[in-house]
Amino acid sequence: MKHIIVYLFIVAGLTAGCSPYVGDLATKACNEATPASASSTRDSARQILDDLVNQGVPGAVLSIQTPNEAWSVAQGLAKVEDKTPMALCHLQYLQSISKTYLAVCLLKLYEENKIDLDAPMTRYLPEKYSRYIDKPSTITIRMLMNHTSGIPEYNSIPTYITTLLQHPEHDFTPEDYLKYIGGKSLDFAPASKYSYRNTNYVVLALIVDAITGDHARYMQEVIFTPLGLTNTFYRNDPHYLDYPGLVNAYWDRYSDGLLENVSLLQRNNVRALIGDDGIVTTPAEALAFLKGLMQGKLLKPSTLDLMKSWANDSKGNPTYGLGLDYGKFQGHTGYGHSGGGLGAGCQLYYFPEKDTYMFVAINLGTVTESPLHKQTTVALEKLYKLMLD
Amino acid sequence: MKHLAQGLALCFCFALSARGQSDSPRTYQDFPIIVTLQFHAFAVPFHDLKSNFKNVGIGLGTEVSYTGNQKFVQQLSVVWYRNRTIGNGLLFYTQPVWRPGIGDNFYGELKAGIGYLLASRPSPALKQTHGEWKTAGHRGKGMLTLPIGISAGYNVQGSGQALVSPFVSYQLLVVSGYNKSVPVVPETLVQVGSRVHF
Repeated sequence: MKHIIVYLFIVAGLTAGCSPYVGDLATKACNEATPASASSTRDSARQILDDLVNQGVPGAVLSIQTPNEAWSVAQGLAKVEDKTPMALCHLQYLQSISKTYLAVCLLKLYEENKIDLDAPMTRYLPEKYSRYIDKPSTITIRMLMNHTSGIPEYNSIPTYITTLLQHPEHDFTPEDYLKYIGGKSLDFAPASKYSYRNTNYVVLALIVDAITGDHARYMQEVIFTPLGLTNTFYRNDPHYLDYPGLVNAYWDRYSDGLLENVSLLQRNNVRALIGDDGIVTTPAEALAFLKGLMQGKLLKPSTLDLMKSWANDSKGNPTYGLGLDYGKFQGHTGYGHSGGGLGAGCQLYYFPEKDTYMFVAINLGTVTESPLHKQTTVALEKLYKLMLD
Repeated sequence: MKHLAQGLALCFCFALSARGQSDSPRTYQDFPIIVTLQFHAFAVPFHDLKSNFKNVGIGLGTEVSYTGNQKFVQQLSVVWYRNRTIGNGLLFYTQPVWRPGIGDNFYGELKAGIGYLLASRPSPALKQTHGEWKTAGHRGKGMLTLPIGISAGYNVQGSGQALVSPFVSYQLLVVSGYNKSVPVVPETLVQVGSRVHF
């Protein structure tokens, strides 16, 4: 028995001596890039964000542009541990808003007659990727773009989730994501219904790669450079998510209101994602992108109309175009996209009836439920009411 | 770390086996000590076995027979494991075990039961109170767990005072209530150890 106890102590000692897990990353304090203009609406918005961060959300940013005013506010902390204040010059994770950027790339290729939206994806997607997809020749580019393809979701596969969480530093390849759905049947017949799937945009990124050689470089050429977006980054550098201006990311793992710094996990996860996620930017440049898109600086008017050809949800209501989400906010129509990840959440919308653009982001994960999200929902409702009523 | 853990596991079993072969034979008795090395992973069953051997833990347990022999017993165990990226865990569980013999001295096990996992966080939790952020340590969550396992072992019929049965087990832990969006998660344990009937 003595020997047993000795062995147990040896094992316990060895395991307890291993290095602890460090989830946070450096975030540098930065000065506000854009001087804020005085506005009573802005003061009200600042108060809403202040309430939000006082109820447990680490940090929040908001950027608004109406026909009469343009302003931004930042509240809370970009990094809690060293009390780095959230600032407008900090980079925010756009998460799934990245899909709208990729859709613009595809529509630029369409304008250049390099892609047919109604052609089967197998015309462009190399066989090394299409072999993982069921009946790939029945799925068109348009079906991928408006989420009517029926391709299964990779990021709800248990093996993917457990690998991601157990191995925060694992480098997934695009092919890895497709392997998770390899051998699975389509969830529904192509074009028979709408159902949002991240996998569609992974496939689309690979298609743009096949046509242009590098979808990230093409995005730089057709979006970032024309719009002068110098603080928007996507795969421009293997270390683009190590830039010190990027906010730290927090996750309520157990849905109990306690947060963990998951910046390392968030960074590595986002770094591996292609097409469906991956862009980081400042609030001002997020607005500049949507404004550039809606004002015709990126696409022809007829192509923008195509982007707004909506697929309907199960109730017959318009819900998603070609990389563009259709939403109703306080009774007002909005075009744009939302994004959510383990350590961040955001919304970017244009409200045509008010000619108003709005970007809001928090460095709290929204992909799993948290009691803190109730405050976020309340804050968003107040912001929409403030801006749109 | 992986090789170290495997080496320790082997030494551990050999040491226990050697101890059991020194004196006169004993038959099955209730309340043996079950000592184990544990290898944990946040993984679906039979995937990512490499991870198991990176996350080492220890376990202690005992059992009592329903039938007076080792064919059908109830086990009670406590396991502590270290998992750097998911968070450490302390698991209490009990399982009825069916243990059919397979040839001379070898046996298999099928077991399923219920347990409670106290899982901590990999990095300190943060909470805001009255406008100030404070750390709440690695405090985690208690979760109901269903452990389901298979084992293979060997009854050492040597001349020892203690009957020793080294074994290896693979357990799936169905952990409930991980969070509100993912209510059930799979975890696995590879267990290498021995029952020692004094």
